[in-house]
Amino acid sequence: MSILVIVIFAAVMSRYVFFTPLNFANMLSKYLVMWLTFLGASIAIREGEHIAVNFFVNFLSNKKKKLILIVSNLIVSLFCITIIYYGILFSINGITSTDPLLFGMRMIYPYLSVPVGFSFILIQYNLFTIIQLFSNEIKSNEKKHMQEVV
Amino acid sequence: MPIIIFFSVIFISLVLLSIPVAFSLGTASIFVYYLSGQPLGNIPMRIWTGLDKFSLIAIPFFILAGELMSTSGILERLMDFARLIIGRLKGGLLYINILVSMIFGGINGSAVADSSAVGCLLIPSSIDEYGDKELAASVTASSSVVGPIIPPSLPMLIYAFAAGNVSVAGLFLSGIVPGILLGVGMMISTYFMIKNKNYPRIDVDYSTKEILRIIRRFILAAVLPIIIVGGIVGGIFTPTEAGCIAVFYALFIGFFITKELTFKKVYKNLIRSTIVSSIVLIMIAVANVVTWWLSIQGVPQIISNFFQQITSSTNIFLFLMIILYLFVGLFIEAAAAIIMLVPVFLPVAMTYGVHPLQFGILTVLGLLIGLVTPPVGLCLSIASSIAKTEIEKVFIKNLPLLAVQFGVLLIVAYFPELYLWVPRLFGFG
Amino acid sequence: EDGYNIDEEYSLRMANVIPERDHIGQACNKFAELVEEKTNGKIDVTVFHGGQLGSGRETYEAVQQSFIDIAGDSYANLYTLSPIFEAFHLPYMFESREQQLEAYQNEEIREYIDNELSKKNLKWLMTLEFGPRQIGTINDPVKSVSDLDGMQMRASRSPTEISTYEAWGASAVTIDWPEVPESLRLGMVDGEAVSYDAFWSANHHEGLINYITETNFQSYGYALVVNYDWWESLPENVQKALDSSAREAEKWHVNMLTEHVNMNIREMREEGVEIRQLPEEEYLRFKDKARDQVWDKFIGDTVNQEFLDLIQSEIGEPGPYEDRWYFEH
Ligand code: NA
Ligand code: NA
Repeated sequence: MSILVIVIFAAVMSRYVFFTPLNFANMLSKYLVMWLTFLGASIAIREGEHIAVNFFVNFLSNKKKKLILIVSNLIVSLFCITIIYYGILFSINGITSTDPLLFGMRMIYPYLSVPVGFSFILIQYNLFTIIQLFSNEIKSNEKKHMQEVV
Repeated sequence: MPIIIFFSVIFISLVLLSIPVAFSLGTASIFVYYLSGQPLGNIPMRIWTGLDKFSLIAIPFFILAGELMSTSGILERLMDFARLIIGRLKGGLLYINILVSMIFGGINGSAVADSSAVGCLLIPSSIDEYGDKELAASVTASSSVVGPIIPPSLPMLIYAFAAGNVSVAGLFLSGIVPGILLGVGMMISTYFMIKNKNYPRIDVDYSTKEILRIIRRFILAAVLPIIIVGGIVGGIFTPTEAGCIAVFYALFIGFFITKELTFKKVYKNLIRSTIVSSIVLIMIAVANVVTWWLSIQGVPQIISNFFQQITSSTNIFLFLMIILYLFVGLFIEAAAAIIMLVPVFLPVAMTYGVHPLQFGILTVLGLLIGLVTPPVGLCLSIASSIAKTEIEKVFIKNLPLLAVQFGVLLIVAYFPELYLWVPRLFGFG
Repeated sequence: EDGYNIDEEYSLRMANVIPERDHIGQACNKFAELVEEKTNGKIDVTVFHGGQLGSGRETYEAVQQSFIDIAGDSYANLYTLSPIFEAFHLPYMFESREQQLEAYQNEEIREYIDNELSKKNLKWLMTLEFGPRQIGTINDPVKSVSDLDGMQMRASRSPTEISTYEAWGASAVTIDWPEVPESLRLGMVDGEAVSYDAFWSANHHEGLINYITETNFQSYGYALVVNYDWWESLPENVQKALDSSAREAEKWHVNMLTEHVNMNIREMREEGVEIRQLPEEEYLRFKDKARDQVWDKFIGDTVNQEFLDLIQSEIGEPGPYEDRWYFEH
C-alpha cells in the first residue's frame, strides 16, 4: 500500500520539480488512487475502521449482536458479489479502450481495481465477521478507533 | 416519491444494523436500481468514475500530511509557542488547547484525530494543574470542531468535490471569520467558566534566548499551514500540490529538524492514511452510484419542489437545513454526511439564493457539531476516555461551549456578509 | 414527410454533458421536441443536461453497454472508445465552416465513420459545432506564433491539441473543463484555447481571460451517439423519425450558432476582452508549424490515411481568407 502512496508522490513531485507538466502523471496517479481506495477499503475492514453507526446495536445483548452480525455479513456479501460480477463485465469492456495520455494503456487495468478491490472486501468482511463471532466481546467501531488513535 | 422513501428506509435500516455507511449506501442503491429497472451493470462504472477526478488526489495527501504532523513533533512546537503567548493566563492550558486546534486542526479532516492528538498532549497536564477532568475533556472536544472551519481543512475539500464547481480557495477563505469567532467565542466562554476558580498560573520566566528559540521553532512549524493555505489561495499550487508539498515538508522537519520521525513511524503513518483515505474515497465512489439514480429519477427536482411547497423563505429553508444537519451529525460522521447530502441539497439551496460558499461553511459546521453531542459524539467520547471520566458529565460541562458553536452556526446561516467579504476580497465567489 | 406512424411507445434517455442554457443544450432540446412532434408523442426523449448522468466518456460507455440510449459530448471524449473523430481534430483540417459542415453531412464520410463506430457497437446520430479553437490568454496577448513560446496552455485530453501547443513551443497541461476556471485563477496556466462561445458561456471573459487571438486552429464538435445493436433492432420508421429529427436539429443549430457566437464576441469585447484577428501571413505561420509537426505524428496510427484522403477530397478548398468563418468583427 505504501508503495502506491510513494508512487503518487513521485508522480506529482516530478511534475512539480521539473515544472514540465507530465500529463501522464495526472492520469497515473488518479488510477493509483483508485487502486489504493478499493484495496485500502478492505484493510479498513480488517481494522474495523469504516464509518458505521453502532449506537443502536450497542444496546443489544451479545447474542443478538451476533445474529445481526451474520445478517449484515450476508447483505454486504451480496452487495460485493454483485459489484464483482458486474465489475468484471465492466473491466472486460476496458480491453478495447485506451488512455491516449498514458501511452495508450488499456483501460482494463484501472477498471480492474473495482472487481479486485471488492473481492478483497468480500474476503475481509467475511473474515472479520467470523473472528467477531468467535470472540467473546463484539467490538464497536468507536472503541476500536480509539485504540488505534490514542 | 414512494421509491425515494423506500430507498431511505432501506438505507437507514442497513445503517442501523451497523453496516458501514458506504456499503449500506451501495446495497440500498442495488435494490432501487433493480426495482426501478435501471441497469445494474452501471453500478461498477459509477463507482469507478466517482474517483475519476484528478483533484481527488488531494484527499490522501491532506490526510497523510495531518498524520505526519502529529508524529513529527510539529504539534509540540506549536504548543510551546502558544504557551509563550497565552500560557500565563489563568487556565492557560485550556486556551492553548483551543489555539492549537484552531491552527492545526482539520488538515487530516478528522476532528476526531485532533481530539486525540491534542488531547493526549494537553488533557493529562490540564487535569494535573486544574483538577477538573470534565473541563479539560470538554475544551479539547469542542475546540476540535474549530479546526476544520479555519483553513486548512479537509472537510472543506470534500465539500468542494461534493458540490462540484466550488473553489477550494474560496471555501478556505470563507472559513476564516467564522473560525475565529468560534475560537475566540470559546475562549471567552472558558474565561467565564473559570473566572471564579482559583486556578494556578504558569509562571515561567522565559529568557530572551529561550523566547527566540521558541519563536524560531514555531516559525518552522507554522510554515506548514501557511504553505497549504497560502499556496492555494495565492495561486501557487493546486490543492493536490499543496498537500503533496505539505507531506514533504513534514517529512523534512520530522527527519532533519525535530529528528522525531523514524521510518517505522512513517510506515505506520502511510498505512493509517491509506486506510483513512480509502474510507473517505470509497464513500465518494459509492455516492456516485446514488447520484446517477437520483438524477434519472429527477430527485433533486422533487426535493426542491417539496421545499418550495413548504416555504419560499430562505431563512426558513436555512433553519430546516440546520435542523437536518444537527440531526444527521448526531449519527453519521461529517465526511460521509457531506458526500451524501451536498449533491442533493446544494442545488435546492441555490434555488433559494444561498451562496455555495455560505452553504459550505453551514454544512461543515452543522455536521461537526454532532461530534460533541451524544449519542455518538466521537470527539466527546475520545476526550472523555483520555480524561478517564464519563461522557455525560463532560457533555453537561460542555454546554456553554456548545452554545457558542450554535451561536456561530446561526451567524453563518443568517449573516453571510460578515464572512463572505474575505473570499470576495481575493476574487473568489 | 412529416409524421411517422409508430406502433410502440419509446421512452429514451439522452445524456448531454453541456449545460441546458448553452446552444448545445438548446439543440438537444430541439431534437427531443422534433422527435416527439414527428411521432405524435410516441417517442419520448428525456434530456439530462449538464453532465447529470456523468462525464462524456462515461456516458459514451454507458450507451455502448445500453445503460442509457443517447449520449453526447465533445467528440474528443469519444477518443478512448474510438479515435475515428481525431481526423476532424487535426490542426487546420477544416479551414472554413463550409468544409467543416460538409464533413459532418457528407454521405461517404458519414458511412465511413458509422462503419468504424459500429465495430465499437456505436452509431453516430448527430453532430453539432462548437466552432474552432481560439487562443485566450490572461496576461500577454498572442500576436504571433513566437509569443506562445514557453507559455503553459491548458489542454483538453485531445492528443492532437496537446501536440499543437508543443509544435508552437508552448507546453500543455491537461485540465478537465470543470477545473479550468480555478487553474486560470491560480495562474497554473497562461491561457487556454476553446471556441468563442465556450469562453463566453463559462464566463471566462469576466476577469479570467483578457486577450483572445482568432487562430481557428482546431475545429471540434459535439457528437451524439446511440447503441448500434439497439439501433439496428429498431423498426425502420423509428430510425427515420430519429434521423430526420437529428438532421433538422443540426440545421436549426447551424443558424442559431452564427447569431449566438457573434453576440458572444460583442459581449466579450464590451467586457474589455481584446479580440484580435491574425493577418493572413501570420495565420500561415501558425498553420505551417502545426501541420508540419502534428499531422505526421498522427497519420498512420491514429488517423487512417485512407480516411484522411477521403475527407480532403470531399471538403474542397477553404476559399478566400476573409470569408471562411462566420465571425463579425
Ligand atoms: Na483542542
Ligand atoms: Na484548520
